[in-house]
Amino acid sequence: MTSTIWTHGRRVPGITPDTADYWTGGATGRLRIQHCSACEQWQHPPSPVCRRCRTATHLASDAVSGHGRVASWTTNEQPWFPGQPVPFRVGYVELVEQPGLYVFGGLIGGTDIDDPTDKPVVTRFQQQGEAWLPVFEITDEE
Amino acid sequence: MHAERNVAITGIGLSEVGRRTTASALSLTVDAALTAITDAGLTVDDIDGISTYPGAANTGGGFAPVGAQDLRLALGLNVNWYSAAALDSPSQFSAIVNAIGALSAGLARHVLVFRTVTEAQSRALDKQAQSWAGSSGEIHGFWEWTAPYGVESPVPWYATYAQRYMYEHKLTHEQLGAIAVNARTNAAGNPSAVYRDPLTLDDYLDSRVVSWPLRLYDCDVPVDGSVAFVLSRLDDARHMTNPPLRFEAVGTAMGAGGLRDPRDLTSFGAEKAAAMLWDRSRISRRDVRVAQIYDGMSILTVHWLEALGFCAKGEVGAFVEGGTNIGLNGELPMNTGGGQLSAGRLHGLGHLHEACVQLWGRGGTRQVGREPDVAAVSMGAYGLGCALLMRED
Repeated sequence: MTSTIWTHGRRVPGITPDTADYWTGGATGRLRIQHCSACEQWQHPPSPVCRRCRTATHLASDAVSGHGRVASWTTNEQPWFPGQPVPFRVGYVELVEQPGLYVFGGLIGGTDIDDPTDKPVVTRFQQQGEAWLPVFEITDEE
Repeated sequence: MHAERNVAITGIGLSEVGRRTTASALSLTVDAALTAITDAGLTVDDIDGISTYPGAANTGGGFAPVGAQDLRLALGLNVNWYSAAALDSPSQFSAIVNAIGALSAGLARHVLVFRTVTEAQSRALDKQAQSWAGSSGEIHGFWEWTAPYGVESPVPWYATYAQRYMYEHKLTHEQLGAIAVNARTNAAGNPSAVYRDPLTLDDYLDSRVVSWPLRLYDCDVPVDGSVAFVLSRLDDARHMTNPPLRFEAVGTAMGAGGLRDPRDLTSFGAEKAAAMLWDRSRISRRDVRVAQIYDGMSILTVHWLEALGFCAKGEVGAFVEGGTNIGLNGELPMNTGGGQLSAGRLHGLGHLHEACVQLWGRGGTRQVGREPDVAAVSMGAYGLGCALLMRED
């Protein structure tokens, strides 16, 4: 858990009561996403209420599988601050738990894959201060 | 109620626009404002309202160096109603929409709308000046979801949308490049454009990648400059110097898409703005003779062309390829002054200025041949948007 897998950012998420579960789930090795058990609806980014039923009664941060697919990606080649290591890949991952459940993050692995669109990913974590950044490793296995 | 139909643009003004001007932001603003007031056949004392975006914000990036109070003081304006639309609004065109509201409500008679940027000056002083996310520490809100990964600019974020669009709809690099080449070709006829040297498709393809699949020439150009308009009530406008340019319709949207709320990753709230625009209009997209389509990034033009219905979903690539359809003599002359890609980033209000230039037949060598009488103008990116339909009276 101490290996460095993401070195391209200089900012840390400002953790709030609303976002703490997402950013700290990695401490226990699980990606946690808000889920409304009344609506059976996953949502991200987090909200104080379910965006469908507008209540918090059945809302909880539940662990997801960490599996998904690359919905879109970019290889960023221009540094955005002095010393930023480039290139690096980032993108949107659609988690398997629900169509349209997207999370944004760094993409690692799959360096021999020119176009990782729709390739499966698994979630890894990069500790950064209090936060554990979800980072998504591209795999070539279905 | 269609408040916009009671309002017209009666004068326009553009300051020097440059990659690094020596003029102060306030001086650029005064220049644009006085030009617009004179163009409208008015005097400074006739102006009784100011509308701008986003108001003075000392962020250091040159994004908003001049506010309404600064301009009042500089010009000695005597104003009752004024407003600055916040960043949290459906684009820089909110300044126009707010002015329409005020004029239609009788809160003012002649409203000066302006937008000033000094992003080139600021960048010359500090290369980090335009880091949207700030430079250090914990980050909250909009950028919280990407900045920790090193994405502190909108470009990689736009790139993810461009990538998905190209993947799903087989948009080629050559087709996307046609938008930048068209802009540069048209900029050659615009003395105010910052980049006027010819750009070929090969130049585009050879330009460095910023965030794949987006290259340098897919990105617009930060500049120094100010653009201003006088908006007047239609009953007044009909007795003024210029033929009134009426607002046929306005469409605004708080849409999905973007860092926190991607939808299908191939479109954004522009469709909502466009649907509202056409719903409020008595004319159709087939009546549009010239289009000034937001090109803060080339991929945004793709989204807007689809959203406004000029192309069916997925067919933008074939439409823009080779540039014929969007050229000055094409089916839909587009970004006739060079857009933001070549004329400079005046945040959509440069597009509106160019629409007025074309409708008034002032385009010189870049004038669209068919005496355009209707123009569509759009502004906005993921999560927000505004479209305007302008017509002769």
